[in-house]
This record gives sequence, C-alpha cells and structure tokens, in this order.
Amino acid sequence: MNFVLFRLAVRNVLKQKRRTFFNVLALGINTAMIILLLGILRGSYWLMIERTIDLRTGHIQVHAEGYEAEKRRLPLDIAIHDASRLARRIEELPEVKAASPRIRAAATLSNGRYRAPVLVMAVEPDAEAQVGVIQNSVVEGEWLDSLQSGIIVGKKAVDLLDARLGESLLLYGRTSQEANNLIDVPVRGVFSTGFSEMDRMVVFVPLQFGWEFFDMPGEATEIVIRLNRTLGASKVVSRVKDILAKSTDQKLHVASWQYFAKDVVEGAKADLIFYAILFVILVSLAVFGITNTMTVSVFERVPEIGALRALGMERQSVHRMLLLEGFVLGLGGIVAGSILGGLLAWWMNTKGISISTEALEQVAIPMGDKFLAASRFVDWIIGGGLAMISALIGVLWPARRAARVPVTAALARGVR
Amino acid sequence: MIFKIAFRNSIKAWRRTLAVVGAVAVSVFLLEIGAGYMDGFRQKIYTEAVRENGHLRLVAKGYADKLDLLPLTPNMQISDSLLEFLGSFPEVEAVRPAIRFGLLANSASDVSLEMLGLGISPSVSRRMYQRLANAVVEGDFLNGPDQVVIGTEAARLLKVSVGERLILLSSDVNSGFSAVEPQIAGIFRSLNAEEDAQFLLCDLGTAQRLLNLPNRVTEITIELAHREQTENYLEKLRPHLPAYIEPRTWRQDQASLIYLLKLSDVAMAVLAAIVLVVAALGMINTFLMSVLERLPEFGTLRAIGMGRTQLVSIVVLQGFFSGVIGTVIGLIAGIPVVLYYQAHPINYGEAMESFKGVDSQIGMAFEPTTALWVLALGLVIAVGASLYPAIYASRKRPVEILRSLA
Repeated sequence: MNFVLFRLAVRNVLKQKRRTFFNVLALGINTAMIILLLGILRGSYWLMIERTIDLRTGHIQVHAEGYEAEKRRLPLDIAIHDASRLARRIEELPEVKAASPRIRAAATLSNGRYRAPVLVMAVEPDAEAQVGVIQNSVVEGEWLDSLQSGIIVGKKAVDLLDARLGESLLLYGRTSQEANNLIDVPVRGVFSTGFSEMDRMVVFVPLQFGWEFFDMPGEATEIVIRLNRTLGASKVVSRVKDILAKSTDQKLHVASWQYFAKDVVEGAKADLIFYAILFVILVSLAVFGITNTMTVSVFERVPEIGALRALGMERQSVHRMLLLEGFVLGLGGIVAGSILGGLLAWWMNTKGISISTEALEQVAIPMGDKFLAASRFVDWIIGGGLAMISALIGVLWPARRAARVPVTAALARGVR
Repeated sequence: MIFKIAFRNSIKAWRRTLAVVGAVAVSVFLLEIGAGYMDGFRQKIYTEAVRENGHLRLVAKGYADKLDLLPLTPNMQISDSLLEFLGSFPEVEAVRPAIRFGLLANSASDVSLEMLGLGISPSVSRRMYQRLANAVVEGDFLNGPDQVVIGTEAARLLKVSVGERLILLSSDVNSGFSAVEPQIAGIFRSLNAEEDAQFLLCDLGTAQRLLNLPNRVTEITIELAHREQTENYLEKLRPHLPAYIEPRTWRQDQASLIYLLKLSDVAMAVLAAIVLVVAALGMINTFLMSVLERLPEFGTLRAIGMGRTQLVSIVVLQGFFSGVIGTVIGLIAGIPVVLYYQAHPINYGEAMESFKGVDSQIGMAFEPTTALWVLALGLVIAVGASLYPAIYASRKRPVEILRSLA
C-alpha cells in the first residue's frame, strides 16, 4: 500500500510540472544557500581562529596573577619567575607540542631619522619556532639564534623606517624598574605575515637579550603553549594548572585561546546568530510557498480525493499520500540544491573571494586575504535536512485538510 | 473597468491575496530592517569617523606616507591668517589645527603607559569629539590650556583621577627627551576599548611645548557642512595652497572603512536578493494557481473580445494591489523597529573590539529615501511575480480553453 501511495504521490507531483518546478527551485535555492553559507562560515572562522592562535594567542597562555587586569600597560613588574623551567615542565604533558616563555614589552625602534613604537617579543628561538609561525614568515635574512644578538622586524616597519637587513637600529625601552635603556641591535631578519598590525608593530629578540635589556633575569611576562590539536584546549588548561601548582609557589593564571581572543569568539557568535536568523527566514519562506501551493492543490483536487475516499481509501492514507507528495518535493529540492550548492561550494572552496589588503588594515584580527569556504559533507546533510523539514511542514496543514474532506460533498463538487 | 475586475478578483480570492500580501510584508519588513542596519553603520562611519578625522586634511608632503609612525616631521607652520583663510568659505564648519604624537604617560604612582596623543585647540575639541565629550564620566571635557582628558581604563591603569597632574614624556622634534605636566580635566568612557585605554587628548599649546613645535602642527583638518562639498571646496582651495602642503580627502583617509562598508553592502544585497527570490518563487506559484483556476473565466473574457494586454493587466494589477498592501504592512511593522534601534543603539562589546575607527555601539538609521526604495522593491517583487502567470494565461488561445471545458 505504501508503495502505491508513493507512486500516486510521485505522479501527482509530476502532473503539476510548473508548480513543482517553482517549489523545487525555491527549496533548491534554500538548500544551496545553506550549504554555501555553512562552508563559508566554517572556512572564514576556522581560518581566522587558526591564524589568531598562530599569530596572537597560542592555544593556552600562562601569566602571573594580576597581569590580565594590567595587560594594556604591558607591565614588566608582574612577571612569571623561572619561566624557562616552568615551560619545560609544561612540555612534559603529552597534549603539549611546545611551550614558549616570552617577555612582551613596549619599546621604540629608531634609525635616527624615524622612530616607530613597537611591541618587543623576547622569545626562546627554538621553542617559539614550534609555538608560532613567525620563523616560517621570515622573508629576508634568518630566524633568531639564542647565541647571537639581533632583531627580527616586520616588513611594514622596515619599509616605514627605510631600514635594511643587517643595519643596526636603536632600540629604546624601559626596564622592569622603570629605568631607561637604549641599545644598538642589527636587523637579522624581516618577516611578513600578511597581518598588517603585526608586520608594523611586532619585533622579535632572543629571550636572553630580553632578560638583560628589560632587567628581568629568568623571568617572562607569559608562557605561550602550543597543543597538538586545537580542539579540547579548555580541557588541557586544568592539566597545565596542576603541573604548575606542583612546580612553583607563585600564583599563576592559565586560560585557553578563547579567553584571549574574545573579539574573535564574540564576533563569530554574533555572526552565527545572524546566519541562524537568515536560515529561519529562508525555511519560513519555503514553508510558506509550499503550504500555499499545496493548499490550492488540495482544494483543486477535492473531487479526486472524494473519489479516492469513495473507492475505499482511508483518511490516514489520504493524509499520508499528501505527506509523501511533500517528501517527493523535498527530495527534488535536495537534489537541485545539492547540485547548485555543490558547484557554488566548489568555487568558494577553491577560488574564494579576495579581500583588499587595505580593508584588512582596518581589522585587528589576523584574517587571510581571501574568503575561502571549508565545506564538509555534514553541510549537505543540514541543508538537505532543512529542505525536507520545510517541505514536510509545508504540506502538513493541507494534508490534514485533505484528509477531512467529506466524501459526498467532494463527489458532489466533482459533478458538472 | 480592468481596475475594477482586478480589484474584485483580489477580494474574491482573498485567501490567495492574503498569502501574497503576507509574503510581501515579511520580505519588506526584513528589507527595511536590513537597510536600516546598513544605513546606521554607514551613518556611523560618515558622521563620526569622517567628522572626527575631517572632510579634508592638510598635511605636509611626505607626512601621510609615514603616518603609522606618527612622525613630527614634516610639519606645517600655522598662522591666524592661514586659518582664517581656510575658514572663509561658506561650506566650512570648523578648521582644526592638530598634532598627533606618541607619548609615555607617567603618573604620581610611578606607573607608565604608552599612549597616542592628539593636541587640539580646546575651542574645537568638543565639536570634533562630540561622542567623547558626551561620554565624560568625571570632570569636564578639554576647555582650557595645560589640560588633558583620558579614558577610564587609562585612568585606572595609571591610578589617577581628575585634578591630578600627569607627566607626558616624548621625544621632541629634535629627538631630545621632553616632558610636560598638564592637569587631568576629565575622564571619558569610550566604547572603543583601545581608545579608552590609550587615547589622550590635550590642548594644542601643551603638545607644541612637549614636542618643541611652536606655531607648528602636523595636520589641519577641515570639517564641512556636508561631505559631498569636499571636492568642490578642494577645487576652490587648491590654487591657494603652497606646494609643500598635501590635501587629503575623507575618501582617501577612510578608504579602508569605505571599502568594508561596500563589502557589507554587497553581502547584504546578495542575502536580500536570495530572500526575495525565494519569496518571489512562492508568490509566482500562488499567482499561477489563481490563474489556472480562472482559465475558463479568462477564456470567456477573451472570446467576447478582451485583448491579451488587458488580460495581462488584470493579473498584474492584482499583484500590484497585493504589493501595495503587503509593502505598507511591512513598512508599518519595520519602521518602528528601525526607529527604536536608532534611539537605542546596540552595543556589540568585544565583538567590535578589533575594528579600528568605530566604537562598539551601532544603531540603525531611518532614512526616508531607503524606505522609498524598499517600498518600490516590494511593489516590483509582487508585480514581477504576477508577470509570468499573467503572460502564461494570455498566451492560451480562447478556443483551446473553451474546448477543454466542453
């Protein structure tokens, strides 16, 4: 019986070619858009999160207690003691790829003619090479060496200062005791990350140099931890806390990247709400279209339904037949949407949309210079699922109405 | 006559009319809200960001290339006659000579903080930074010589309050270390976290003393009555400008924000188009049903002499009626929402922290021109959706229709 009903439903749907075409097109566009937008969402945010972790936050950060509240003034007096030893202890955890102690401090770089305010990152070159991606972004010269003094400067800062590789620049800063300090440092390398703010503001020096220059022997303002995988960073936080509690008496604050990249997380949340509203609107409009056409279709087919009922078809079967019509429409929408969405997703996954580098300068989040999608099979399931739900909700009311049609009245309407 | 038939048909098939009216109303409601949001963002950039940075900025040649370094050279000499001349044009609202510089603020508690300073005449500061002047939570805004105003976060970090003196340290124009000790006139609470922690506004005299730039500035920004007057004003000004001065319009200075705005406009237009297409497909189906149902009626009308154009007009007019009602309902529902969020802007908090040049509070804006566009679009959708079914009906030959009835 079910198969007969399904055949009837397919025939009814195919009989009304125009109606079916527009319904399937509406469902198909919805499905395609949902597939495409989910891919874009994943692609842009995943990329943004990965780049934020690479260039700004790492997976987990450790600070001395009280540092967070004062972080905007880049305090050197709230530091982690014996930072390198603690970093090595953290590296004993199996989830941890590397831990890099850093001194983050404000300073001024000058070539005598121009001065640039910079953010100095004093790092352990080997550990930093595993934690961040800067060593891979060196476009001129070479990465830091613990045994040699030197500075790695961003491409934009080099251009602004009209500086050259090998040239000595003056680095002016203040020690943790608020005393002035000035030193000549040769430009050992130039990096370019594509993240304008970083390429203009950040310079890297060896941690050993930082200890002397800022008068902070053995200390660091932060320990940045890189995990083997991004997912589950929050869970590793407690393990890091445990190991630190066993290794030092100092009170330390440990948090994952979500805490330090609130702008990225909050931005993503706001966009997710926007997209969720858009999906609801698209689904509602599809439901509206289908309900509308199916209601008219049921109204038109009252005599036909009456005849079927007179021949012995039960109310439940009429109801089921109409639901199956919705199911067939949904299937059509899924097929159309999967093909259209697949083509669009392929284009967005491979080619993407370029963003002007000028616009990226206005955003202090490390983004790529392209909007690329990262589509997954699950996007087709969600898009298709929503199309099917829209189609079934759309026929629900007309189907109930059809099942309630009185047989005699229906047959009477059919008599001309 | 046709008008009457179309109207009667709309009333007769009230359920279908209602469905189309509903679809148009929902689409128009969403369009009005989306457009109100974009207008709000646009207004934010055009009024706040552009006003604060000036419609036209005059800098010494070569300064703009090194702006990221906040250089003190090249700079410009100013005189009362120059400022008077710049302000002598009817479209000019304010002429604001200023110095941008980097500094280290030091408090009595021996806490230091790297800050970005702007030295400006107190007489124009309130007009320029209306947003911050309205956000003063302690003391007053800049109103005299030897004064600074800072954000609440900067005040907290430096452990200072209104009335106390702040030591400003910087390298002067000759690369020598220099310091001044102005008084804190007021503390503002900015919705831009970076600005709240790092922006310092001081009177121009204090900046000139600190940087050893007597009668000199790094820029002169000019505020006009309307941004569209910029090019015209520049045309008049250009012949009188000395060769060492480079004029920069707000379009050049705010190029990246304007690009971002355009990008958002395109994204919003694409999303609106998708919503409208999906809604239109539903409407086409509804009209198609209506036309198919009334084919015998149309066949009879055609047989007794009604022309194809007249038939198309009847169906399209029905679409027009539904469009008018739906659009009006959509606007009646949407405009109050836009007006509410115009009066009560949304604070996006940390989500907007990474955007430079604007703070986190963004409201919607009601613009009558936009509402008219939305109204037109609502009508176009309804009329457009009725077009295909109308043409379909008009192409049917009366003989075929009447024969099928036999």
